[in-house]
Amino acid sequence: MTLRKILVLDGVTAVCRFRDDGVLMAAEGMLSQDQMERLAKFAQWYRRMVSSNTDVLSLFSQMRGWSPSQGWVVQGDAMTVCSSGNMVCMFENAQGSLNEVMRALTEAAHE
Amino acid sequence: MMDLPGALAAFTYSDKGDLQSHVLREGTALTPQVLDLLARSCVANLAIAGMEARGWEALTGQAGFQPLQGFSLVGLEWSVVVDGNCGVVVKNRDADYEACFKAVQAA
Amino acid sequence: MHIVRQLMAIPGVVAAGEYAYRGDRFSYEGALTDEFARMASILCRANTLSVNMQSEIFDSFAENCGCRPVQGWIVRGSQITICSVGNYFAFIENRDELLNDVMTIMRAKVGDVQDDLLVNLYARLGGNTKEALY
Repeated sequence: MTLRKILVLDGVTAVCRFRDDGVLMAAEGMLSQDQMERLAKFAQWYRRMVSSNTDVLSLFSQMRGWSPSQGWVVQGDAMTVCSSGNMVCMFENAQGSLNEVMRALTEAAHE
Repeated sequence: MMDLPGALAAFTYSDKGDLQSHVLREGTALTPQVLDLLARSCVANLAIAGMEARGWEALTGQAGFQPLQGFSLVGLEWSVVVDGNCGVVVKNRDADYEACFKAVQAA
Repeated sequence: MHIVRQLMAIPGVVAAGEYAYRGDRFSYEGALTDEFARMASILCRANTLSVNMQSEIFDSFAENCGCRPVQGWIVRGSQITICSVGNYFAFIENRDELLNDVMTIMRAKVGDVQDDLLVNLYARLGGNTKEALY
């Protein structure tokens, strides 16, 4: 599942693959290089934050199934940003399908 | 709150983190935009700290954490102290954390 | 004197210790069990990551505004307070002047936090800062 294949999904405006230190590995889409780098940095931070909060939830709930966390979704009024593993994507709510995008991101993240 | 030692800014915010009022000391590099972000992040931090306090007491049986009395983010040169709907930013060099917590709790 | 020992010598400091990035490496002294200390280190990691991310965001709006690099955070409970500077934490009673004293000592001894969060969190307990989280 290449980034190109994710970019052509309905509504997707940008998709990136990032490294564990926040460095952008690959990007496709309608953002500038600077914006793509910021997106990658943000996604890396958010991933760390969510995964550590998931660990805390796991700890307090004593439930299996939370950790390790797989990704996150932030749904805005018209746009959504979502991530699975080391992939992050931005799409327009009016056209994009969250299920489809997350499935594609998850497949790409495991490659 | 601006009378607190080292105070750079004081602000109030809604339960969702919308900045409602603020005072900035002249010459500070802080801007209303940063205060707005700070207010939102502090609402989040208080919520997370509240969750941690509740979870810790439930799991360990220890008491004394709830009800929460506040949260502080200690930056390089300044710290922000918040509780409820009220926050203050102070220079670390002059910071009196206890006075800050008392002040935001009282407000 | 090692910071943890120094903190534990102060009346009202219930426990103190250090934690690493993954939250599963830690050391401590005081009124905690091994399990509680492990839990505390997971909590500390979560909060530290959170405030570090927030300060990066603040900094991108007002560069060099004095927030980065973040030194630590404080959670004030009704009778107990948890404070963290760098990769050290302390549980203290809410006695007069104690929080200020503890923060002064912690910031003086371990407050020289560098910009790279992972380097900080591995600084004293060791570990591979390039290691992937999962």
